[in-house]
Amino acid sequence: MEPVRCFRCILLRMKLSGESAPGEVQPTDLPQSSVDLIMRARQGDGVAWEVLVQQYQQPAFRLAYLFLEDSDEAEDVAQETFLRAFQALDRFDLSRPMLPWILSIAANLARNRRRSIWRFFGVVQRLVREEPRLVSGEVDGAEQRWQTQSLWDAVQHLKHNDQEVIYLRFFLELSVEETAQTMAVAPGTVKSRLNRALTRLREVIDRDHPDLKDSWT
Amino acid sequence: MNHSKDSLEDHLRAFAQELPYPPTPDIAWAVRQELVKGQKRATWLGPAASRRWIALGVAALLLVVLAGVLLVPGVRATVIEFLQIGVIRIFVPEPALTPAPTMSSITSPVHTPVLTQILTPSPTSGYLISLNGLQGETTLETAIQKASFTLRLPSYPEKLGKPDRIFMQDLGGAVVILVWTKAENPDAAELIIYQIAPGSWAGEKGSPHILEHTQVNGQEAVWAEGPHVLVMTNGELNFRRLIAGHVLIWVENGVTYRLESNFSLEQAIRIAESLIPIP
Repeated sequence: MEPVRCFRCILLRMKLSGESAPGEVQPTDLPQSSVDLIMRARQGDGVAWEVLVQQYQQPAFRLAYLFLEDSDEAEDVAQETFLRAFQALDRFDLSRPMLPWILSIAANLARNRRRSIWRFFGVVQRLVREEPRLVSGEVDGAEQRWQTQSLWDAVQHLKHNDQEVIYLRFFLELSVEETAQTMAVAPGTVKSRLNRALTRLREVIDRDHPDLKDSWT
Repeated sequence: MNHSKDSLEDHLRAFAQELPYPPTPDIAWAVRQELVKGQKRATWLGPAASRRWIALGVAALLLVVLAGVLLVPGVRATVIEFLQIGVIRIFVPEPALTPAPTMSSITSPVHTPVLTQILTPSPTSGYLISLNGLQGETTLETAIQKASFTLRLPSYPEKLGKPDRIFMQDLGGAVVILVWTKAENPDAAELIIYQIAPGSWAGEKGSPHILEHTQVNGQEAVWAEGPHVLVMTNGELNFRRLIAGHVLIWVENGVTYRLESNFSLEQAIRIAESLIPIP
């Protein structure tokens, strides 16, 4: 097959021909077009990889943003995620969906970044003269803004592990199965961790934001 | 208190859907550029033996160029101008000489007109600002116990008191950050003092609006007025941030101090010279 340099051409060709990947593994969870792109990327085709990055860049960026609360840092982490994924592509199991794999790399990098001294400095620096902003400046109404800010503050009071499972399930809307793959745990563990995280979130709301519960009733 | 299960989960989902994420940048393009750069590097460098010869050639060429460049006074100033204060190194690219700002009744500084570069501040990113997820928050007592050096607190202004929040991390040496928050807004800082043991971090690059030599307790110090961009690197980690405030950096007894505030130079020096060991 001749190499195709335009990613739209790749997509079009795949869409039209439904051609299959030359790999040995029979994928079960990936669309055939993704398998083709992965196989091409494994052979060093950067354009094919770019198409895959476009498919997954938004959830990767958003997960990093939830962890780091800073768009510049989130962008760095998302870029690093896809560079590392490209380097590790030979080890990717084609029988599994790609999104959890990508998100697991992003979560690891974001976790490390959050622990790093530079992140530490960064957050402190931002405090210097920046007034706190409401979480959602686009939300209409002071009451609603207050609610969203309170809820966000409550989530931020949770431990990082609790935050992570909430981000994956509620913010990125992953299924239990996808969340389990991202966190490298069993689906049952995701359910129990989510229950624990929500219980703790309720406790934080009761303790620190008692007015919030009244506004929901 | 009974939160109905559905209520909390529904509110989380609704909140998540309304969260105003920043626009997703074109990561695919950036990744592609990085991959292309990597390929070009790999192709050009070739096998290991060739790389060694190329490295030797490049080193020799750099020596020749450097020697030539350093013979030109103007260029020499541009190339080698940086300030190293303790563990902090401030690089100042493309300098232009300007007079230092007028100051009065400064305690004991030696002012030198230094390098000025105007920098347009860019808006800081990040819509969600919270200290809650920050690693390393501790108590003053714990910081005193764990730090490898004697922590010091300012005795001026008298009403300042103890810091409201204390953070500590250890990366080859302790870094202690003392934060005094604004009374009317505990999420905003009024004064931050970093106390950094040797070896903790590698350095910082910046291009502040005004950069001056001064002194704290007779020791060399640097005063930087913001806004300026800091780029700090340590190994593979890279951190870039807009600094809005003014910064005073100095070293005493091997500990690097970095005082960040909105105060004037005079006030900052007075605070710096008022530091006393915590009893």
